[in-house]
Amino acid sequence: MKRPRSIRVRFTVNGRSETVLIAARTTLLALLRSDLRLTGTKEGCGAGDCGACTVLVDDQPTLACLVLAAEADGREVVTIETEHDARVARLRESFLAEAAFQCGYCTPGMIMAASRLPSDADRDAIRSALAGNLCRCICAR
Amino acid sequence: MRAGGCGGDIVFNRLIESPRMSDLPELSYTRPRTVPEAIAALKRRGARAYAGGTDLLVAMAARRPWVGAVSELVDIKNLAAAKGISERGASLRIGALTTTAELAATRTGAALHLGASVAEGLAADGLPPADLELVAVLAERAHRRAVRP
Repeated sequence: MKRPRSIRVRFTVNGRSETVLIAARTTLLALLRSDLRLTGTKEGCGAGDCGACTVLVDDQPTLACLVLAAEADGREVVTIETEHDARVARLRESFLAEAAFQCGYCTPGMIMAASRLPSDADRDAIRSALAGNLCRCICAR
Repeated sequence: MRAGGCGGDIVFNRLIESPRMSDLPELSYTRPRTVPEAIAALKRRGARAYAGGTDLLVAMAARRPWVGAVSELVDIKNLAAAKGISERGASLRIGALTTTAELAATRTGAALHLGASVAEGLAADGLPPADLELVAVLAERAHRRAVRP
């Protein structure tokens, strides 16, 4: 039996249902950025080291460059563009209010990773949760 | 174990050296639900088990020789049998699908996390198995210290 190299993926992104037909080798990051034009999610290292591509998959911070788009089938993906996720929205406003970035490239990933911290997280917990989000211009520490 | 502020250099180097995931070869993708299904899939020519994706996808995109010719990814992330951590006395059973974060959250996990990180680094550098054994021994010692009453 010849197994399919194109795959139909049905998932919700930021509350909207999407059905796409994609090559099996497509990463979730490529699907979001190139096919769905959700370019708020950034590609930094492209190898799972920098955290710039962090999105939520079923509420779990996930590196979009290291998962295949096929895995999103049946799941709920939330990106920095979300208009529904209150925790992401609040952090987005706070980052803006505090001008908490320099070049801003790592910011979407930082916001997505931080959005699932418990509300009583202390400084150490925050640093630990963001340890996988590298800031190239050394604005955020 | 933390990235801190000086991680910038890592990203900078990676931007120059790292492959793009768009360089992944043509693939088919299967997602078995049971262990027998997974075993059958993995017997197929060109099939490779896919779980975390770290290393495997990166190495495939970079055409690293150790990966070989992969034409099918068998996604084993949904196999319940390979999940979970159970602790009994001084021994710990870690399912192959356990994430580092899940492990680090356990009582002895922090010590093992250190050993695993070192082992992963050594493996990435292509060091021979003997060195990996040494790391395993060190990790075990750290684990024993952690569980000592």
